[in-house]
Amino acid sequence: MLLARERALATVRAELGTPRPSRPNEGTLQVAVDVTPTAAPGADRSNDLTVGLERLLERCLRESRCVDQESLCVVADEKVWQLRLHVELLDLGGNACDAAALAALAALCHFRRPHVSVTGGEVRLCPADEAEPVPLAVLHKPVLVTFAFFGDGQHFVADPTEIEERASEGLLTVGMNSYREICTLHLTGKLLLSKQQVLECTELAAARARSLTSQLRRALTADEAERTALHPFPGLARVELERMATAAASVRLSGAVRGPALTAEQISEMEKEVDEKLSVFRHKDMAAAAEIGQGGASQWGPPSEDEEGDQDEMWPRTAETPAKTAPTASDSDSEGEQTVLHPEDLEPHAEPGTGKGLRCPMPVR
Amino acid sequence: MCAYMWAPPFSAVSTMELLSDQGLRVDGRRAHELRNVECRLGVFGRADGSAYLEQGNTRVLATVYGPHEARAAQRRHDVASINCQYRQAVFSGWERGRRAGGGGDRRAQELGALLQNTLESVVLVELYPRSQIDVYVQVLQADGGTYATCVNAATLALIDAGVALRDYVCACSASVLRDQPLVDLNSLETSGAPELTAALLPRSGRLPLLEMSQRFHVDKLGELLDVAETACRDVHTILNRAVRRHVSARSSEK
Repeated sequence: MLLARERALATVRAELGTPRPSRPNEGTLQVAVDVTPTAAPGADRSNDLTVGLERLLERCLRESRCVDQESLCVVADEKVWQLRLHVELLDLGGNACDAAALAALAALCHFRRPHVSVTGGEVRLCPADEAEPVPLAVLHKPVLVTFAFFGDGQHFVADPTEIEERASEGLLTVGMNSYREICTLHLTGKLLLSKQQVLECTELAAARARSLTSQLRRALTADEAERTALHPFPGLARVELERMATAAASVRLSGAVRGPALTAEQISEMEKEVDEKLSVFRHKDMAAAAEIGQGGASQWGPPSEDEEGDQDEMWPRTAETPAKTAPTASDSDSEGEQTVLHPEDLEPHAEPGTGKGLRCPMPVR
Repeated sequence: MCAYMWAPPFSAVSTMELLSDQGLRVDGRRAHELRNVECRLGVFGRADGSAYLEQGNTRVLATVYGPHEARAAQRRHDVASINCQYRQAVFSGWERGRRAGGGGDRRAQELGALLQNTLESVVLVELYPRSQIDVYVQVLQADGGTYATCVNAATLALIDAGVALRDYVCACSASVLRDQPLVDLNSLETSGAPELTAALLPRSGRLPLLEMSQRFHVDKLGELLDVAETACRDVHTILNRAVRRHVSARSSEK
């Protein structure tokens, strides 16, 4: 997120965890702000900036109910999605609040979480091939607008640069969304304001918030179009192939463990068929992503009791997740405990939010 | 009026309960009424200034040490530096809080910084160069409007310490619920409605502090600010009376 000379980077991670005891039906959203040493000399040691910014973002995003936290609930009292929003300030060109807030909002709108299915008492994460990753239910888009005051509150400027910030008597930060609702107000510095000034600032902030949110919406739509263009309906193709692979795997397993239901030739024929189809698909997709698991068909075993534990390791959906390599055909007695993760599984696919989610309303745009 | 400390489930706090059809709130007040205020100055002998303030069930203790010689790191050659610390006792809220370990709590840090900002605009810091004024605020019982009570208590403690102030700082929380403005929210109302905390300097009518949570429409802001200003002036009347009573009692002792 580049706001004039101020740069901020925001990421969202999600994991399943237990809810807070006072709010058993809601997921949680935690905000952490970091100032990197690249931002400004000595800035990474400043605690006030990070704490102030964290609390401001929490108030703006969490307490104003920007994300519908009840939709993050999977099993009441037991499992909810815990979102961690991490903002890194890369370049302090002034007005860190606004940039951080916009980056955080963009990250929340852009984020897609895996789909979860609850059967009986068991919570199962669906890989990206079975169900499209689901976006968060963002109810409204609040942005922060900061004003710096000079001359005993007589003059003020919007979106101050670093020099203006330092020379000012104080800053007023107004959080607004495009529906002209104030989400947060924050006054810092030795500033004495009059009621008129506050009202004036909020009017200006309303106009700016509307333009910022429409810019954000355009950027998100463009990104959505890009995602769809890269992977036209990959979900379908992949599901079919994986099912075949699973079928072959289970056949293989049943042959080895439960008694020969199929002859060895039949099994190897099926395997060959699967391998062929997989290699064709792999060949087509070579340009899109690096393939891991070229040694053979993937081995998705039948869902077992400890599947939940495995799938908890499937995130965070960042580039650093180590994708485990597919076991070779000789590991047939592993009972499918190794979770095979292709990098393209981690990328979001096609249209969002069409899977049947548990308490997952369609996001309001 | 019973002093209850019971947390209802979040789902039970709805606008219907917070304001009845007859215009009564959960604790029987009208929309424009403040909670009962009790204050005492000079409660501690050791501190230069201290005050104990109760607004309804919210109880806050504030102590001031200073102006005294500033630590080298904090020393500024032309003005005093103000050091504020906000602490919430572990038994003060609904759930037992974490033990305050060196002020590592983020909310405590934020409120401490906010208090410092507010007080810096009121204390005549030019009169105390190279010195430091420490303001410590301890919340004993939190039942809504905690931050406003802290600001009021800090003002009283500063007055008790004899620190030169530009004016009283009177703070109050306000909200609007179904087009009805409310003042001085308790914790039930805070969780169910947006809350605006504002502080006022009564003589100039200017605001050194503005904080809000949740969200409300901008058209309501003007009304809210008016309502908050009236409430802050009411608080000022109460605090002023208490200060004069305390000062005359002290002077009649001698």
